[in-house]
Amino acid sequence: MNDAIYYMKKNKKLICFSIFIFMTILFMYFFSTDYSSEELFVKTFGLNCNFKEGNWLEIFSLIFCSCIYIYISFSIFIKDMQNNVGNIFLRISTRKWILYKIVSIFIISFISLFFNYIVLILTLFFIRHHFVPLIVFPFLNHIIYIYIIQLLSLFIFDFINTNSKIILLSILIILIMIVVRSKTIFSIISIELIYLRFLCILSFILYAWFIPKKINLIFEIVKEK
Amino acid sequence: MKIEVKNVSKSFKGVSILSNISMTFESGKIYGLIGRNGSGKSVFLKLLCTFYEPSDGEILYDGINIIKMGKFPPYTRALIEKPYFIADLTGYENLKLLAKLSLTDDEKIIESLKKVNLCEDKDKKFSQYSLGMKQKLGIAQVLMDDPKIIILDEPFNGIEEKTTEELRQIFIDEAKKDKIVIIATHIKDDIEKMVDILYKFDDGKVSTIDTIDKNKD
Repeated sequence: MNDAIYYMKKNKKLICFSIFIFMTILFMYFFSTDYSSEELFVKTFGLNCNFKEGNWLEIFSLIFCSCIYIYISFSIFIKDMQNNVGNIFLRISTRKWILYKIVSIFIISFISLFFNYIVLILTLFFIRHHFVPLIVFPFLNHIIYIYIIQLLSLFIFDFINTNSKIILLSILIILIMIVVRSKTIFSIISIELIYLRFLCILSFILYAWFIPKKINLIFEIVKEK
Repeated sequence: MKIEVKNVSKSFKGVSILSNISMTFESGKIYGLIGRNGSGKSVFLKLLCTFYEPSDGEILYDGINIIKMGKFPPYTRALIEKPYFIADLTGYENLKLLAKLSLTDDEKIIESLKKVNLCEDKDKKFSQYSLGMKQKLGIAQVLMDDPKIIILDEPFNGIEEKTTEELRQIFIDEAKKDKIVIIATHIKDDIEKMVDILYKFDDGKVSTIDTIDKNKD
């Protein structure tokens, strides 16, 4: 709850900026193509990204969206370390703190993405006069995909700061799992939900298990910065 | 309770901050750490809290090296560097939020706020607090959980003389309850009359150890 309030207060401009960017992309597609509402929706978020076809706008959407949510995860993860070390960490175990953090990153990202979806659905309703049907599946795929990217980014950040072999091993496991599905991994709506869920749960377990043991090495770097 | 610091050194990116420090802290005593700003006091306190890992040496809590177990020291509360709380919450709400983590009841929160003379201002937002009030809230969060080890970094910063006197007495009373109280400051006069043992930090080394006779006055 505290993290959610922090995110909302500190990132108002970012929230507005991301909505502005997605709306701009939506209208760029709307005025230049004859896509159906569903296609417009998928293209705006870069959910069916194909690097070989080289649609730069879709690639941009995918990268932009990923970057926004990576930023969210870092700002939530680092906040307590930068300011509240003495207050918080002597009262709670590192494992519990890591669990709280990675769960709150998921919840905040879920709400934030849901809000983005609602804004786009309403916009499409006003310009096309009908609701985009069946967005539950793309949404679930999208949020799980984002969460995996967030955990992977945090893993890489933690590895850079700790040089831990076990963290490197975790990163390699996740990357191999991604490479196995490299043909579809950028086409978020094409990946099987079960595979994504499995990868997400695996990343979550690896993170919650290994990072608490290395937390004070991360403290040093965060405080130094 | 006993904390043993054995030949501890700490360096960041090759720069030595603390070098080969050995100390012992025992229950029932107040320890003063003095030294100019940048002498390594705060880094040492962070090592005591296991926020940092020693580059060399070890810190034992009752004979146990807790950093190897990936844990923070038990029954310990600390105020290190400036007190940080959520600006939009009141002082009381901030403590309540932390109390949820340590399962501390409201009575203890109010009691600690009274101890630091902040009870009247408890419903003001943290952003409206003066430097001294922020410092008092930081001390209140340390005291409210009744810890066995109290670690304070420059606790009297910005606090008026009357409250400073009262706080000194509180820390003396806490030590009498068989607790370890460790206070770091760059002003020797702040703590000279209340501490049992004084460690002097100079360029990352503990150069002198004074045992203070508190009854000399």
